[in-house]
Amino acid sequence: MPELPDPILIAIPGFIMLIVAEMIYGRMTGRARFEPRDTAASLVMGLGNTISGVVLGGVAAAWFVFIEQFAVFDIGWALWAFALCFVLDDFVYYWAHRFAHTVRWWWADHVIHHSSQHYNLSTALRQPWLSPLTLKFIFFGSWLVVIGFPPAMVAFVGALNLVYQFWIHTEAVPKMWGPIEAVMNTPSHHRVHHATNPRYLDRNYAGVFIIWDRMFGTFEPEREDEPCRYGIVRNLGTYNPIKICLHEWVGIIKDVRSARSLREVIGYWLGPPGWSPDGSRDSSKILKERWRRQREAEAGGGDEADRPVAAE
Amino acid sequence: MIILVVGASALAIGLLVILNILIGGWTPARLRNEDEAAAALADGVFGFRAAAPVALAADGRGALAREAGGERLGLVVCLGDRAAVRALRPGDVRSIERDGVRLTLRLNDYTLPAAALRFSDAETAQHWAAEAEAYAGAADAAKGGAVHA
Ligand SMILES: [Zn+2]
Ligand SMILES: [Zn+2]
Repeated sequence: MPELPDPILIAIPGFIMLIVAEMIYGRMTGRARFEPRDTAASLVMGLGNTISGVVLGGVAAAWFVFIEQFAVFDIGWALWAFALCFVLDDFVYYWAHRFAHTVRWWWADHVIHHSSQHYNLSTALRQPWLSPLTLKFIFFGSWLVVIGFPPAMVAFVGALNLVYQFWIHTEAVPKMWGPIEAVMNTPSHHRVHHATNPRYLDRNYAGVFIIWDRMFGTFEPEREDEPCRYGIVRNLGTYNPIKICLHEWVGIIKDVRSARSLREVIGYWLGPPGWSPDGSRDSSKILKERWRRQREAEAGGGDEADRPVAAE
Repeated sequence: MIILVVGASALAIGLLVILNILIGGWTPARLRNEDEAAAALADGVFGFRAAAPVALAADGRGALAREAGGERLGLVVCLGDRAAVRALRPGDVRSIERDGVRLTLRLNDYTLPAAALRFSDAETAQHWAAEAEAYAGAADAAKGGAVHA
């Protein structure tokens, strides 16, 4: 087995330099916006993620060592294997990410990354602290190891995937050359992913290659006539890292405690984010449906501005 | 090794935040008028249409409005250069305090536990304290969680 470096540790100085560069560029051009408390919260979440990776990452590592014995093939360390592993890992990433947006149990972990209303390079580092506890690594991390890719290779390409995703968290880079936008995940595609505009909700789950979204029907291009509004459907009123880390878990516990049947327990826990028994909350599906009906009504001649209307 | 990485990262975070403070480039969010408050509500809660009158805090850092044709109470709280928006339903308000022109709503909301709005006159604060009453939790109201004027 070759001695593999940790791509994320190597990249950290680069991350810091690029954040400094984006801050200065943003100040000069207005094309990137940072707010100190938001920046601090995102960076602290990133540091906590690194620490938790060391503390809790052992759980996942032990799992991979355990399932390695069930590997179907012995793929080994050839260069082509690295390349294939990278592409397949990105495919798995797409599905893991898609489920992270559609199952509240996993959303409670991933929501942290989406919880800033800013979209700059510091947002890339706003990451959860408790990921291994969601057992996502069992459901999504096992496939490549069971096929026969060495666990260390899977971990290595997975880290490369995350390093790639750093630079796309910016408003400073406009749409790129067509062929790049066609194949790769870019700042433009990922801005859409972080936006809460109903048109953009739950779109562009890609890690490195946008082709998965095009293949599986979740692609949405960024439009000039619809600027992205970043954040989550119910934006946070706090910069407290502990609350950022725990808020959706607290929500799940509160909801499950109020559940009146097993169906409600499962819905609150494993249903889509925003699920409620009577549909009174805003899930992505409900928001998209409301948006579609509003557009149809507008196309039918109605003109609804955001102005306050006289009380009934 | 990990101690070194954590220590260096913590230092880098501190320096980046200081750079962000020194370099500036953001302005605190402020709602300049009722239309902007209504737009913030519509952006923050898709489909929320504010009914007039919209109550705008004197400093433009918050607003309240009833929903047109709906039962919810819209709340905007500015936070840094952005805003957190809520459409409150009955039971979402834990307690209401009014002190002259100042109205404080404590909410059953983990990430937005309180909203303090300072209006230009005591009458407006009193009016919205009474409006918010309908959103106070029944249990809390019984324990004395209602208006303290
Ligand atoms: Zn996501
Ligand atoms: Zn992202």
